[in-house]
Amino acid sequence: MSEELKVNEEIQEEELLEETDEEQAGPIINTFDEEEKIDESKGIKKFFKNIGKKIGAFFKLIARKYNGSKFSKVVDVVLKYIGKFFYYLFYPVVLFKRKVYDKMSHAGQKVFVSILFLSPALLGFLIFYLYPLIMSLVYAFSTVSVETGKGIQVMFGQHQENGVWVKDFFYNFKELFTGATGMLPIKNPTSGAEEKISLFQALFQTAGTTILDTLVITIFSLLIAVMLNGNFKGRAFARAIFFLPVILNSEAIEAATESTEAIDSMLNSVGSNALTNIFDMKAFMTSIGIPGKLVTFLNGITSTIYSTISYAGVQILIFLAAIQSVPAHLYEAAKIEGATKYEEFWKITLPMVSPMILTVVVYTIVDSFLRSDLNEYIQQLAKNPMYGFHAAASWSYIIVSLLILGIALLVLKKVVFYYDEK
Amino acid sequence: MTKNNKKEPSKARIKYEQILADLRNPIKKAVRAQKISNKLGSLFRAIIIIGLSFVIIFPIFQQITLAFRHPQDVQNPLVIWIPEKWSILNFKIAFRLLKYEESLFNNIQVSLIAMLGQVTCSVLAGYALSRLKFKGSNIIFLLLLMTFIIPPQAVSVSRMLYFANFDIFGIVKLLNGGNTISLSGKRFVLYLMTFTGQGINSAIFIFLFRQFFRGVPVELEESAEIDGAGVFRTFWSVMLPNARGVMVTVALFSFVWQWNDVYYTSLLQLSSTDFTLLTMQLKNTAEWLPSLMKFYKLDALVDPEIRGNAMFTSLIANTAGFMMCLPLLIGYLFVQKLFVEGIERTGIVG
Repeated sequence: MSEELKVNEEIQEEELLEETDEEQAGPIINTFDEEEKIDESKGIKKFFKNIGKKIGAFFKLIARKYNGSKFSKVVDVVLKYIGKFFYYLFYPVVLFKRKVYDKMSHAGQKVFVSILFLSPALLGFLIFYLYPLIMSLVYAFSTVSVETGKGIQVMFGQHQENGVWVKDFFYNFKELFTGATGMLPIKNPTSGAEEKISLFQALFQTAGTTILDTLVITIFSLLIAVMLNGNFKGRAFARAIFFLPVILNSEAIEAATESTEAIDSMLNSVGSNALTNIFDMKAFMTSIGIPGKLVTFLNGITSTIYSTISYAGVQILIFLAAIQSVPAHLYEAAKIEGATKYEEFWKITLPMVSPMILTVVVYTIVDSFLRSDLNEYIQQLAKNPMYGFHAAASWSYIIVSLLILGIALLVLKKVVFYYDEK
Repeated sequence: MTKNNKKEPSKARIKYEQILADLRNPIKKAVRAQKISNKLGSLFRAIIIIGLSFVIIFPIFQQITLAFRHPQDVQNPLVIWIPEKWSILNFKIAFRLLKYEESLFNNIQVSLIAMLGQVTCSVLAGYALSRLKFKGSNIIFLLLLMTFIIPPQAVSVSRMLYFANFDIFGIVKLLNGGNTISLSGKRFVLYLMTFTGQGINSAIFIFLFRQFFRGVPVELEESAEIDGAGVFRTFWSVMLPNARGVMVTVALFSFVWQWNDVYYTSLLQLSSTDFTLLTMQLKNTAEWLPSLMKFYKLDALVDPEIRGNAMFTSLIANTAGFMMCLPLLIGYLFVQKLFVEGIERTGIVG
């Protein structure tokens, strides 16, 4: 408190001194006044200028009073001690930098920084990813239950039969593939009725749709990317529209509309279609009146076209970026040689973009597997005493997806062309 | 007149013959063919782009008109697109049910912090994996890619159990007197996960940054080194400013994905009555609409007949879904250029 009083006294003293300061700075202020006289017509501007000046003067005053005052000395000391505190707090780091890091070779420093930069990702990988992954592999071969107060109980390689623990490593898998637990309710795509099929069948079906989806989405997104890359009016607008699904594509919205769809299909009234088929173009296309057999054919495409577009957003972006990075001189040379757009696509764009096809295919396979009905039904196995079954089902599903990925990589290895290596 | 005609062909005749010659001229033929094919090509493109744009925009348009439809029109077969009675009653109800004013800010908070974490972690890892290579860094890259190829959603149960009974190799048990801790309901854990590269699709972002840094000319780095810049300095003042485009892209994607996320929110049970998030509120709204209406005392707004109608549920669910997307849509209008051009500037090649 006493210090503050002293500071106040000093401020009063310096207020007296200030007048003399202004006199010293007199000529400069005068020139400003002249300028102001010219500006007089604009009243509002002048008003704000005055306010700005006053604020500026206020801060100048504070700064002038602060510099060299006792209060500033106190602050300096405090800051010095805070600095010292942090210095000693991080002293090990400083010591490490001086004693170890600075003495490393440049290559050594690079390795050290590399590990430092990678450490968060590695830590997360170990703690949040690898451990649960291994545990799920263990769960796949064991009976898992959660009891309150006891935590997770894992009986590795055993299962209970009539109250007796029996040893059988592959019990979960056997039960899933042959027993009643593995019967999954899956919607028949043609009739819409629910059917029970075995996990084996479901895996086979999902693998088929995944391969088909991947083919369609990859080709579709490449074509769209080529189209969007061309020079035409409203290109920016078209691009903005095509990436909308990336933003609007939300599981939550799908879930919200799905849960109501179930109720509506029971009611099966006129209005319900218009309400729930918001994300489905099928109803709209049929109502437009496309005749005869075309409808059945188009229905197949149109009912999936929205989902295809909405799942292809990221892929279109990847391809677009890849096409943009193709050197322009290649196209120029092709133009001089008289190549058509068609030839340009097959001879330049496709080979140059081919490394990205790999990325897109991997992304699409994983994505469509995650979106599949099978995944949803596997999630339904996640009930308390069934955790083992769930783990086994998801691992068989992972293995199938890895198999598809492997085949895709093998096929694409022959197609992919690396420009740098040539 | 007739004689003249025979000797000197009329202007029309000359023109006709010129056209014939032009038609037979092979060079002009080729030029013409290309012109026609170009025109046809652009027509084809226009048709496809306009058609697909329509497919994309139509549901949004329909969603908007549905949102403005009065609940009493819900079963009116005459109303398909444009509502007979305009009203904002749906918005009012959805606003209350979503706890919009709270959940919006919560969503923004979570998405922003997650975005920061994703960008920080993936830019560091991407740089280390592309430019600061050492023996085994390729293996690390493969391991990180594995998090995408075997997505955590696939092994969700073991993850769920693990998070509910968290214990790092027995350390937590030791410190906590033999008890594991539950991570559910702790936002801090989500932030920690994003900062350690376990957010949504973090592996893709790391991949993107790695591809980008690989494409930056080596000379840039070497000249910085010759000028005496250390490893940190080179990264901070030479490489990072160059990566601005990719950073924007990654930031936007992580923001949007976090905003729409259901998996992590339900895994960590982030959304609770104290801290509501839009996605979970939307899901709850769709599932428990009648009881929620009673709970929030909104029954008086709608006739009991309509309240029980399934179509009313889907109407409100649609409106709520639209409201969830609205901030993203509005934001997209402003950053749409960044979004598209950002990824072009990434210059990712093989």
